[in-house]
Amino acid sequence: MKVRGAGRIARTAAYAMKLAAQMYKGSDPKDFEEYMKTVAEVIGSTRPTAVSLHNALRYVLNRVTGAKSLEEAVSAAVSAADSFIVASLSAVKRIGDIGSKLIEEGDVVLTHCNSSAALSVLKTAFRSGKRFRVYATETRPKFQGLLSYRELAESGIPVTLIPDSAVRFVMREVDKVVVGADTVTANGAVINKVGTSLIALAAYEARARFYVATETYKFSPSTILGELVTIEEREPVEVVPHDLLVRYPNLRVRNPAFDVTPPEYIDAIITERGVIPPKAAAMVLLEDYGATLAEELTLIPLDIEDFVV
Amino acid sequence: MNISVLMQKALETLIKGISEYRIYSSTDTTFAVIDAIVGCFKEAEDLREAAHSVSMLVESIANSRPTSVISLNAARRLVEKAETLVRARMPKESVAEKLATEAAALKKEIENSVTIAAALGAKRVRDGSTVMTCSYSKSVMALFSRLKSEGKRVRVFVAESRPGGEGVVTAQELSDMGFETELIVDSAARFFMKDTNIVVVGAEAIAANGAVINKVGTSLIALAAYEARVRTFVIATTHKFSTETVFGELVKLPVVEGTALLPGLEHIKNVVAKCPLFDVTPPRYIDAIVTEKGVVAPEAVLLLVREIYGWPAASGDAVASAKRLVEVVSGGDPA
Repeated sequence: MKVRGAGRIARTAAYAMKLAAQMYKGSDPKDFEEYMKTVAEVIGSTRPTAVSLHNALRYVLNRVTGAKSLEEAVSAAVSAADSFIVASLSAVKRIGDIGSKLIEEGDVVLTHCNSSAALSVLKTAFRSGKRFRVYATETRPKFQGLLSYRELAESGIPVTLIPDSAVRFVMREVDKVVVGADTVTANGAVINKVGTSLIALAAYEARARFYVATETYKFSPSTILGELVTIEEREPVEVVPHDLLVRYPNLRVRNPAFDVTPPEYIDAIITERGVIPPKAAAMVLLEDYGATLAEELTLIPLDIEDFVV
Repeated sequence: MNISVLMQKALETLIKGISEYRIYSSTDTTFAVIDAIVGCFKEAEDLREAAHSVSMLVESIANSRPTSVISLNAARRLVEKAETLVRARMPKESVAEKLATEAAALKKEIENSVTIAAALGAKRVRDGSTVMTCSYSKSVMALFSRLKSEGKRVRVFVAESRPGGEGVVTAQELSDMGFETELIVDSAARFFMKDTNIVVVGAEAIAANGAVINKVGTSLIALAAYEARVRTFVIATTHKFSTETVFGELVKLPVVEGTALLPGLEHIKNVVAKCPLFDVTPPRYIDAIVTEKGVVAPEAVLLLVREIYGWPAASGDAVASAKRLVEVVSGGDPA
């Protein structure tokens, strides 16, 4: 767990793919393809649930397949890895540039947790001269909202910290909600820090706009193949101290890290490639991973005799 | 000086406890206020000091915890009783004694009402179901005691209910009572709503239109329940009905500035924070309010209240009653 943050994980994976391609000693392009797949599997196994990492691997693999010569295949892998890294580094800035146009003078904005993409939108808008204020939720159990609070306050943006339970109380003042994403699924649902879906619901009720700011490598290609996103439940001690759990042995603590916001409550997803309606998520996925997805579809056995009644 | 230093100190401690949300259950708040009013008459040198102390107390509660309608309703009842006794030219000792009897009767009445409401509410919770609740409510705890005595086995999700975080206390007590209890952060209410069969919460006050004022976060849970077609029940005795709202008064919702009520962040410096203590759940998200007089739609609470306060409701203003008491004691007769 030395590399943290979805973006950094993805860039490290792409860089590892580049090194592996340059170190390949064989001569056959088909063998090179198999070799790269094995490398990707090894890297992927280090973090089975990190979408960004798997997407970095897919991004490179997608551009290796179908090469006519070994040289072509190796250079395709290297340039794919390089372009992924560059795109990833510039994505947050691009998202800020694009998303900042959605913020208007005098707005009241609410944000949840600590998303560099969401904060990039707000900070860019502020730098462009727009004046607005922000509510930052404390974001239990680990208070990542406090990090957002500090970052916004240091940028000069007026910000007020509120408990997560006060979201509906303040929502009638709020014009826009801007949050980040952990994962975006094929149907446009957004998996993000627990509480996001409750905020989206309250925003929808109050007719406040709800925006998700995220890099496209958080879009999950496996969901287009019907995979469900697993929501991790974390340690109880994040919520209550250990001694309380000892004193009340019958008390359980449920601590899901994320929840799922349905696309109906999301006005738009702000990506480095532009603002898209959430339900167009599949477009991004097919564009980026179409080749490997098509290949994975061929792996589904067509021999269905066993299922015929 | 109309109030002795000693008495002022005692009252200030109580008022601080209520306004800083250290006493969070509205029933506990009410009982503390009732005891304090009786105490004012017992401890005071004379009726003048007693009346001034009570007036200061009532005014402070009305300012710092204006949502605690049940406290103010109870205070008004005792103050008006005191006024009647003073007008009858009773000595201080007799007033104190009679007021203590009245206070005991009032407490018993509230306790009985809570028990009846809890028994009615328990009928709506099926054996084997999963309940979600938040904050700490005497009425909700009474409902769970009832469920336990009926042998119903239920699972409970309890939101920790920040600011304050008194949901943790609820979860501790429920787990000790033997219920399968799962504590969650407030943000996780929607995540777990799909596993919930019924939401049961208490109330700080009920407005004329049936809106329920309760711990902040209640309206979010009710909204998530409404979205998931899970029923929401509010357990509240009719003492919590705010007669002022019949005449268009808004219930004032106190907001505490800073992080003092956010466990884990209490000592954080240089942070602008805002902690509303209560929020308003609109009647459309509430399936029923369970009172000691029956289970009714929130909009129909007026019907029950009409029997108690008349219609139009006798305007209830505890602060005005207390001021009148001071005048009566001082020899003026504003009748």
